[in-house]
Amino acid sequence: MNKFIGKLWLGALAGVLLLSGCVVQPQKDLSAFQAAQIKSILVVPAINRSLDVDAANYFLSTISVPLANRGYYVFPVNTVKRMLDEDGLADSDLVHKADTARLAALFGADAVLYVSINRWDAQYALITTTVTVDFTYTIKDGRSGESLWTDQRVMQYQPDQGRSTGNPLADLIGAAVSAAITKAAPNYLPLTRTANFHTVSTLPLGPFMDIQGQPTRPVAGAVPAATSAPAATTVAPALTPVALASAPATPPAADAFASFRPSMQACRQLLLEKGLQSDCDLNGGGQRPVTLVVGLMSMEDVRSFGQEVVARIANPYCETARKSGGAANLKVVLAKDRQHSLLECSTGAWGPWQAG
Amino acid sequence: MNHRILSTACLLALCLGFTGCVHTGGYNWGGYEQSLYTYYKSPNTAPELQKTLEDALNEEIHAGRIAPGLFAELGMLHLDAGRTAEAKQCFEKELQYWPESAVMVSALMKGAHPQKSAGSGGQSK
Repeated sequence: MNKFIGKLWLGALAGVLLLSGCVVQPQKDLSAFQAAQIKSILVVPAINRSLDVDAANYFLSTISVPLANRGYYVFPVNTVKRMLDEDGLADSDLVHKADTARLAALFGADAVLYVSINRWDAQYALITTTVTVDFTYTIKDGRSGESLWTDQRVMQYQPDQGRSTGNPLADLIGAAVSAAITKAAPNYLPLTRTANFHTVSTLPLGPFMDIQGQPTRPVAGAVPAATSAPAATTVAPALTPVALASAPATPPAADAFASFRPSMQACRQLLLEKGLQSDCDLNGGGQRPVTLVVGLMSMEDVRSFGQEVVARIANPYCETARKSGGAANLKVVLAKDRQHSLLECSTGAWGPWQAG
Repeated sequence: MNHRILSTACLLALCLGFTGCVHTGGYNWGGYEQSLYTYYKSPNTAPELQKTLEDALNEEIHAGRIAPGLFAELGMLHLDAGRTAEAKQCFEKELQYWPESAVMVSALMKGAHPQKSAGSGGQSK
């Protein structure tokens, strides 16, 4: 039960962050970044100027996924950290002061991402508590050391504790943040994930991801190994004998599930563009029928944007289902009213709004 | 009111809470983010991080869509535990999937000396 509640708070917290994370960014000049033709990015450990000793770890753990999904080769952050440690660069201040071109050359990186965590704190007070996160991101050219792109992201939340605002979402956020703060070990991972995700979304798309969120890199079998590395089949059993050897038994259902991921990604991107809270996700655990769940806050959101959002997602999603010859559903769920409506791709008809 | 809050939280958890284990975007990262963070907090959870990486790699190895860096991260864990041979194989796989890693992998291979495996090499499964 405790675990369940913990999960609730985690989810709730993610909801909070989506709310406060959508900062309107001024249009940036990306020409220098684009001219540099960046393919790979080295992420070095963040400088932590905040009071939370864990902040740098939160950052490092959640930066790879958004950067890779944006189409870049991201050097493995933990491996990089360890290699820097061994080179006597354990201190992030030292790393940030080191010559960018030399640092990039150590790893063969096209660019280096530096992050400074300026603030990361919860200010405790009797009535209200404020959580503030302030990151500065800088990407520098790995050859010239020139700054190609910077972003500063401040997210702040101040819950109104102890009384209901009449708005279930605001109440929820207040409760979630207070819980996160009062717990002995608050989990800020979703907050950092959101900050990183929003920031990285403002980067131009890199070479390894197409606009649908589909990786462009061909499968390994088709890529000639750049060195004398043995073929996958001979390496795999020795690598992790139990796990990799059993891999061919992967049921085809998992692959069917995989083909729907671009739809999910497109759905998330669209919600972000529309400034809508909540998220999209795939349900079904890899089994048919796969269901794409689109969460919207209320019927008002459905009226103002929802129909357009759903229309733009539903067609390609059901097209994927038809191509892969399996059943799939799309479900719109309202957080506020706890109602849902289901589109069965096979019939193309929307079901009525139902409770529960 | 409380009931309502909880049910809203429940839905958000449904929509958002799964993102740690469901594939995001084009690659399968498994629970990489959470496991890496946990590992930083408690380095003795290295076996859990290793399991997370292996699971994610196993699921995707046939699709060939290996997330950048995952093989190298697994290799680094093997290296830490003294399993030099496994570490090298992982580094080679990283290079095979992602030639962008060539310079780094070459440095890692130089660092993976066989004598390091003396320590806990027996744990290798």
